[in-house]
Amino acid sequence: MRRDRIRNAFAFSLGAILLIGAGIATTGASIEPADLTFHNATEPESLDPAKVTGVPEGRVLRALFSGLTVQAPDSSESLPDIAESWNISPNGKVYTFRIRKTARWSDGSPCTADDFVYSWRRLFAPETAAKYAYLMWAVDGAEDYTKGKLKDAAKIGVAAPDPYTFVVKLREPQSYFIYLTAFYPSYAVHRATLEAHPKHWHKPEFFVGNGPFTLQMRLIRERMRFVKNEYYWDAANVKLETVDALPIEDNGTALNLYLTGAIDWTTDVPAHVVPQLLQRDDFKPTPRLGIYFYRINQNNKDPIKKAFFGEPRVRRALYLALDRKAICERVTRAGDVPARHIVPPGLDGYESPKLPDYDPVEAARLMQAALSHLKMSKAPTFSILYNTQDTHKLIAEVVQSGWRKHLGLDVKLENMEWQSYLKTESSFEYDISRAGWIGDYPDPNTFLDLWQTGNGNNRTGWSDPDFDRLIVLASKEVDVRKRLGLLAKAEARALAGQVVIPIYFYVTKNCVRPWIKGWHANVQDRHNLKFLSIDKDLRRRMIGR
Amino acid sequence: MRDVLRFLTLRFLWLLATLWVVFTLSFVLMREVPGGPFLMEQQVDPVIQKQIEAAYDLDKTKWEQYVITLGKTVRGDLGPSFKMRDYTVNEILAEGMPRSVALGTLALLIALVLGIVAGTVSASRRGGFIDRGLMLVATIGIALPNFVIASILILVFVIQLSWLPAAGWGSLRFMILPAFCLGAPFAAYIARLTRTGMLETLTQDYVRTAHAKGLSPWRVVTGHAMKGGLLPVASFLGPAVAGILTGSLVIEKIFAIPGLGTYFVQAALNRDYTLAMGCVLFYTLLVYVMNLLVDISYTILDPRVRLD
Amino acid sequence: MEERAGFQRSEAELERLLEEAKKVRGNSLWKDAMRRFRKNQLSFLSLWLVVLVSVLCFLAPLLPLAPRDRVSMNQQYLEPLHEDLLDDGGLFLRRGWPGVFADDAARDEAVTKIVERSGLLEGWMIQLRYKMFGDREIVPWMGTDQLGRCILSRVLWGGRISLMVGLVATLVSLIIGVSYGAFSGYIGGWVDNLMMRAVDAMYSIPFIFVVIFLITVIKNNPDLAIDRMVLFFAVIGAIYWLTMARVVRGQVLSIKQKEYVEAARVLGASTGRILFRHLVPNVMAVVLVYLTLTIPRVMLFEAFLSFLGLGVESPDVSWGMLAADGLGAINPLRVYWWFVLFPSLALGLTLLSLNFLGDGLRDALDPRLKDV
Repeated sequence: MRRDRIRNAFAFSLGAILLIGAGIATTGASIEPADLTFHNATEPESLDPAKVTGVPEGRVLRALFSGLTVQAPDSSESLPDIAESWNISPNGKVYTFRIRKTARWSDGSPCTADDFVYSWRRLFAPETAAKYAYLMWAVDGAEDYTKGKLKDAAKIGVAAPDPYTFVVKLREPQSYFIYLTAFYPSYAVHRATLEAHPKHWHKPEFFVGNGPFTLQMRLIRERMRFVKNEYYWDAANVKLETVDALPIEDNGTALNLYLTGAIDWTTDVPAHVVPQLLQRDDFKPTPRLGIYFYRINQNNKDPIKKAFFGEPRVRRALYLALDRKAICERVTRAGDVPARHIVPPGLDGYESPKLPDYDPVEAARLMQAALSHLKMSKAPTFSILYNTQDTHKLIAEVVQSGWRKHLGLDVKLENMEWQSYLKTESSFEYDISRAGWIGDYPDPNTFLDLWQTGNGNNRTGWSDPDFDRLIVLASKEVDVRKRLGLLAKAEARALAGQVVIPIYFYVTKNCVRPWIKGWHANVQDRHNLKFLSIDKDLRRRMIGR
Repeated sequence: MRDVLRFLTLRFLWLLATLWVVFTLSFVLMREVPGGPFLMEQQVDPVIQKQIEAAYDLDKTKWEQYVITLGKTVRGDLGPSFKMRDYTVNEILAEGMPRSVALGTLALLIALVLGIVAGTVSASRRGGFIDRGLMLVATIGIALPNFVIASILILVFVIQLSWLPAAGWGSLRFMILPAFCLGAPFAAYIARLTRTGMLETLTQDYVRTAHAKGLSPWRVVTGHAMKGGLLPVASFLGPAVAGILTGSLVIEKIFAIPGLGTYFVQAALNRDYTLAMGCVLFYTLLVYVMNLLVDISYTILDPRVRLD
Repeated sequence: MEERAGFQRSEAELERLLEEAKKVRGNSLWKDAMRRFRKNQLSFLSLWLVVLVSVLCFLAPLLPLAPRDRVSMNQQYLEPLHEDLLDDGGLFLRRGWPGVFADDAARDEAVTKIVERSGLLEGWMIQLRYKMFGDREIVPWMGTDQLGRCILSRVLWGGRISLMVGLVATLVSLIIGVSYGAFSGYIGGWVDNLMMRAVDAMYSIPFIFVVIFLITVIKNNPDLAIDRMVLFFAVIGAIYWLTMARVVRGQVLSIKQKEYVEAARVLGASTGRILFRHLVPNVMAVVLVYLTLTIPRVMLFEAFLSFLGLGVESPDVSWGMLAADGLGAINPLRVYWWFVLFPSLALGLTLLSLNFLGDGLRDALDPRLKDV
């Protein structure tokens, strides 16, 4: 009797679970596709412009917020956005932005200079803990305020003499400062919403932004839907009504979705299919401000390796015996440019000095010379560290085989997941480590200042007082040509010292359907949704949607 | 009835103890693993780094962190995620769970139906052509990595035939391929276990008696042999259900499914301590409940086993 | 003193007699099983296939294969039996690839380097291989991968790792799991409860943290001469014994009240004796089947770890890793089917054989089932 009851209860509950599950399984309904759907590599870490540093976050934030200026669709130039105009004082230290009277937040309230004062102070505030705050430390008092040396926020060099004038005082002139006003850390956030909902302001039900779009829906790791912000000052020129960002981690999956017409724009493609894609009209890789390189640990904990990698001829030999061209043409295959210097090409008025080309014979000679100079009978065994990814692995395998063949080195590969990799690299427990660097702003400085002694991003132990001096000199130079000249000299020092092994300069890897209009390639690979539109007729003709 | 109550109370206390042990072990393991949640490729100024860590209590001693986290966890607050900073772990799990449950249930249904039917048919046609064929298919289900199966299915059903969407989440259509891939290995296991269990019981005296009574083979199999024959399956189902409901990183990645499976691995790789802890505790709870159900089902399927 | 010595002698005597008795009975049992097993053709065939694959993979360093990690940029993405591979005729031995070695001295140096990198036995086998075959190599008739490496060679070398991981890790899980599960199920009561709750708790420990933790601990301790493979066995074995324990316990629960167990208990047999003489042999059938299910899981788990970057390191390869790496090669634009097919085939075939082998063994060891 009792057992029967248990049995019945069990059968009942199992059935109920299955039914409920089946119920959930069938209730989900497809939502109407947006005007434009694009592949955003991952779920944004946050919608708070002050707290993030990633590329996927940038794509989203450019839709939801506006800066004082906006980057032009086809170049790095800054165009007016919330600021309708600006002027720079003759000494290059004071920027005065005239805020548009028509600028509005998505709840209809006016967006004024005070919003920027509030947001910039917030960016620099220690409690915000903004990772990108340092990019804007040229603002007078900002660095001291972040570091807690300056307590009074009012002493930071930002002011709003009236609601439509925003004045920024820099501690020294910075020629690329205007680019930063188009970059998301400098965006304004809506004070009233932040204060009313400190923990929930980034949820769709509370969100208020000043960008061309606003947030309608956000499902974790599933979809983010933007709808046009009718209060945006330039709403008349915003063509898209709805946009979906899909956080798809796997670019193979994204490609499948793209090819089946479910998404209109992918931002990255798998390496295997690059040759096939290159034959299509919708895949056109273009140069990008980024470099793929190998760090060399010159501060190795092992004394033998420290002496070995500390020897410039060893580093040069490693560079010379690495076949960059083969990697670009045979492994990445998307037209990446073999790198013989550090600053990527494509920056106006800047010409990089160049290292010699691939030369295994000279490399072997240098290595021999270095070894006999170091009184080593043979080179120590060392490893190449890389984080888990197909392309990194393939490149490392090619490099390993080249160094073995031409220099007779015993090279191991060491594959780590991302966090262990970062930890190993930043604590100098590696020998050679793969790395990448994407420019934050279109200026050579973003690729050079990291090699200064003690810079947290140096992580090679390389140090050259002359180099450090040149970088500081350049940062104080107002004359553009002279400044670039100083930077080129600094780069020449870094190359002569072989601070790292440059491998190649990145290219963009977007697949864009032809019905997306207004999409232009640019070196920073930043594309503001505000400039895009859809040719619906063309789309209907091509895929019937 | 009092027996059952006592049994359940005891199990509940065990559950609390288990959760605490798991919490402690995971906490220690997580903090000992190198790397941290806010380590980045682009290194930030040490001052800012310290401020970020302070905001998440990471500047405190490990003991303080342990006490704070345990206190919050007891109150049901798993804290903010370190990597998806707009969300708390509770929100992330709450949003991922229905998706995982939906997909998992479908996968489980597929696995159970395919597995039990194939296993039973195969057992009653022992050694025959059907038996061999079914077991061959079942073994292939186990022998091939699920990402290979998934890629082939996508190629056929999505690219060639255009019957199903390539990836994503929404209606039932989106779930068919991933549920099949998720359920396939489980179906194969269940088929094999069912077959083994059925063969074992088919030789038992009571089954022979049933045969001798002149019952049809169908009645014998479904009415008598099935109950005992499903014992190994029931034993397997506990962990299997927990595994199937929490999904799989590989499947979720290939089909871009925003379920829980990814978090289990990704949170660990990202050193998202709070989310990882949430996943671990959730999983513990699930495994525990499932095993409880298994133990109860034992008493139903096999009268000789008592609740104890 | 005297008495104790005498006692010891008689105990030793007893032991010897017992041993003999065991041998006699054991022999006939195994003979029976062997006879039955041989009758099952499919299983017998499977056994030979598994043996063949294992031997081939074990001997991979001795075979005239291209080195598994040799990059040839002019041989990328070549299909199996591609004409570039066959242009100077023959599927078999040909002198090393054009441009690989400048001269014999260079080749000898390369061989020395390879030997230095390899383990003791492996190095010796490689040396022998070059003595026997020189730089002649089997044409990569399974095609080449994206770096022009020979897939045939990679599959055979990969099998060494995959099979070893599968076998050793499964054995570890078998030994721990069976003892634990049988003991827990047999003792019952609160001990059983405690032991099973411990298993539940261990199920939920995030294995990924354990793996990362162990790998880093070992990496930072070069004195611990444990390589990553051994670690692998330990970790995987330690994870998979849990399910084994549960399965065995379930079985023991259902047979421990059988007459013969009762009889043994009444006759005063010790717990250990009842466990390993009466209970364990009787759950072996299910354990064997479960074992044939665990080996594939272990091998696939290894692939999953490689997929996450926690698995084998280049130049080592494994079947799972080859298949995972080939994943991107199945895409709508161009299918490099041979990247995935051959490793999958090797994996699938081996696991299939293992399964039939398991079935055969089970039938042979448990004759009751033959009546059906």
